[in-house]
Formats: sequence, structure tokens, C-alpha cells
Amino acid sequence: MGESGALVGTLSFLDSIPSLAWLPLLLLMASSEAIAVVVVTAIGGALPLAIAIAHGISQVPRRIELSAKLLGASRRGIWFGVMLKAARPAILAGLRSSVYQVARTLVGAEVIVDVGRGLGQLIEGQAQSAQLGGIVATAALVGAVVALLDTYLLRRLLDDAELKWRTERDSWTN
Amino acid sequence: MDELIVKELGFRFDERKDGKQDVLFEDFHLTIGSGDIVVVTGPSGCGKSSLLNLIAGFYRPQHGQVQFDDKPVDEARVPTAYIFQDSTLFPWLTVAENVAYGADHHGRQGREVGNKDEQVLLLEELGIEKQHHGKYPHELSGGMKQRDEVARALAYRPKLLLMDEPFRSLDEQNRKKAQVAVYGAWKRYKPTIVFVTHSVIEAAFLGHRIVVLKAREAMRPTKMRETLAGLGPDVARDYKTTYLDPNYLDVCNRILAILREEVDAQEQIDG
Repeated sequence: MGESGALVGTLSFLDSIPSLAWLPLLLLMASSEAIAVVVVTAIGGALPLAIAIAHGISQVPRRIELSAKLLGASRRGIWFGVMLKAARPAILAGLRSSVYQVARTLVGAEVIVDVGRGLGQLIEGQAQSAQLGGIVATAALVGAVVALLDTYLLRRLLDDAELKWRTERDSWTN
Repeated sequence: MDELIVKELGFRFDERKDGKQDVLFEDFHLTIGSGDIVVVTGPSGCGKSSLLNLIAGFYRPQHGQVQFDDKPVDEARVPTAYIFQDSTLFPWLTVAENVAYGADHHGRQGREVGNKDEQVLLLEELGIEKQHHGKYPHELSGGMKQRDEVARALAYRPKLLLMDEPFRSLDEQNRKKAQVAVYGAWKRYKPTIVFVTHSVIEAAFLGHRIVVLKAREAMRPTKMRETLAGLGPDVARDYKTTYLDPNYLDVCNRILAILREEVDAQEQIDG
């Protein structure tokens, strides 16, 4: 618990830094602007997911791990076949915020850095030519894609996991 | 051969903030013969579950060791099942898949385990009918989940079966069915069973031997009060007749007499 608490604490600190704040540093370090945009987007998406995984696993009672071991699961099987699955509701919740974070960071980075294409660049181009309607439509398109992905995939997976996991999790916390 | 020996066991929890240490075991001995069913009972807080955790290797003793077949239990790599007080069923697997989980993994390691027919038989002996086998744990009652857990443990035919009040959430009828099912599985492949319970009737029904632990003062080590002979391994256990058998009732009364004294003593200690 101590180690996972420290890990979650470190990840939460890094997550509290807006991911776009890393962009100037990445632009200095990366060989191309496109790479800097990809990396900053990955940072934005990975941190909430990593926090969710670490937190979710730390909430799985030790007896689940011990039980899987006695039932004959290998070390790898315990981690990938049991612990990650047991933490599934928390991981899916983290994945949802990760998707939103990826969209925000990607569009933001593309607005700032000229990578030649992408929705952020489209918005930037529309701003240059004062196409207010275009800006609103592009922003709405980004929102709609993310909302559809969330509603029809992630939310459904999460609801299913919440339903199946709920009663077991209640007994886990007894 | 295959004896389970708890030898000169010493175990204390880490030092508390006030500098005190809870000594749970000090020079504790217990020998359990191969294929024996030993029931451990005693007042609340006397160390029953901790003893089971030490036997399973979940706690590391500071002194002494637990041996199985003359080897330290963690080196002996003895196929062990542990049924916890609370659920450890996997919520993403159905009843049947949960039961198959241990059998599949142990089977892949080349051990002889219960096949699908035996798994179905176990579930039915435990009162979980076929229409429930495809359900997920969240669709089952608490008692049914506990019985699924017992079936999962028995299905991979462990050599050592550790059970920590596994039937405490079951109603009387299902509790008796579960006891008969455990005994039936024991008769088929004779695992060594250490069974912790507060229930006198359960202890008398299952135990070849019943170990009663003494009431325990905080910070003081667990002591054994008495070991009683239960119904022998050759005595058939039956859902209808055993509970009326005079020998069974005699075992119940002997356990009850000792346990009552220890429970009273524990109440005095707890104030």
C-alpha cells in the first residue's frame, strides 16, 4: 500500500501540471514539431490512465491475489488475468477521462504548433480567416466524436463492469 | 508422509506505535496427519484465523516453521486451497468458469484435477443447480456465492484444504449440504483439511479431531486448551442420520462444555 500510495501521489502531481505546459520543453528536445505534439498528447492521456490503474490495483484486496496464486495462476496470470481485471471499473473510469484529456491536449497542441494538418490546425486556419462559424463547427465536431466514443463504447463497458463488479467489490471492502 | 506439522511456531505482529507488540504464537505445536480433518475452534480473537494464515504461508513466522511432508510448507509446493471468510470469486467469470479456474490452471501443471463432470457434480452436491452455472457472481445470493467458492476449491483436488469459517453466511439447510459435500469430497481424494469454525455442530460433524484454543489476552500468545477426538474417519457422515447419532451428540456436548468455559473466560478478559 505504501509503495502504491507513493506511486499514485507522484502520478497525481505530474497530472496536476497541464500537459500543454510540457510542449515548449518538448519542442526544444524533439527532432520535429509533430513528434512533440504526439508526445505531449500521450502524456496528457497516459497520466489519468496510469493513476486509474495504480489506484484500481491498490484497491484489490490481497486475498484476491493470494487466492489466484493458490488456484495455480502464474505471476503474469495473476497480474494480467486477475489484478488488472479486478481493477477494471477503475481503469475504465480512468480511460474515459484519458480520452477527454487526449482530445483537449491534441487540439490545443495543434492550435499552438503548426504541424500542417489536424483539427487544431483547421481551427487555427479558420481563426486566421475569421470564419467564426467554422471554428464553432470544428470544435463541435471534436466534442461530438469524443462524446460518441464515450457514450457508445466506454460508458457501456463501464456500466457493465460496474454492474458485475459491484456486489463483489462490496464484499471485498467488508 | 504428508504430515502437516506446526513446529515451535513463534509469530508476533510488527511493533505498534505505543511500542507494544502483539505476540500471537509462542512455541506453538500442532501435528496433523495426512488426510486428517482437524477443526480448530475457540472464542473470538483466540488466533484461529491467524493460525490458518501461518499454515498457508500468508504470514511468515519469526520462529519455528510449518512443514508438510517434512519440508517447509512454501518449499513443499503442496497444492493448497484456502477458503476465506469473504468472497474471492472473480466477478468477470460465471459460476462454472470460476469453478473451472483452479482446475484448469492446476491441470495444465500436470496435476490430476476434477474434470468438467466432477465440477458439475460438486456444484450440484452443494445445491447449485444447472440453471445457475452460467450466472455471474453478482446474480447469486451470498450463500450461493460461498458454495461456488467451496466448489472452486474442491474442484482442483488440493492436498491441503484450509477453510476459515466458510459456511458462516449459509442458512442451516445449505450449511448441512455444504458440510456433507466437503465430507464427500474428502472421501473421494482424502485431502488434509484444517477447518476453522465457531459452530459446534459443524466441528462435531466434520472433525476427526477438534482443537480448542484458549481464550486469549491481548498481547499474550495463543494457547491450546484441548484436543478432542471427533467421529472417526471411518464413520459415515450423512445428511439425515449423523445429526441424530448419539456419538455425534456426545462429541457436540464435549466441545460445547469446553468452549463454554473458554467463551466465558474471553468475556471476563474483554471485561
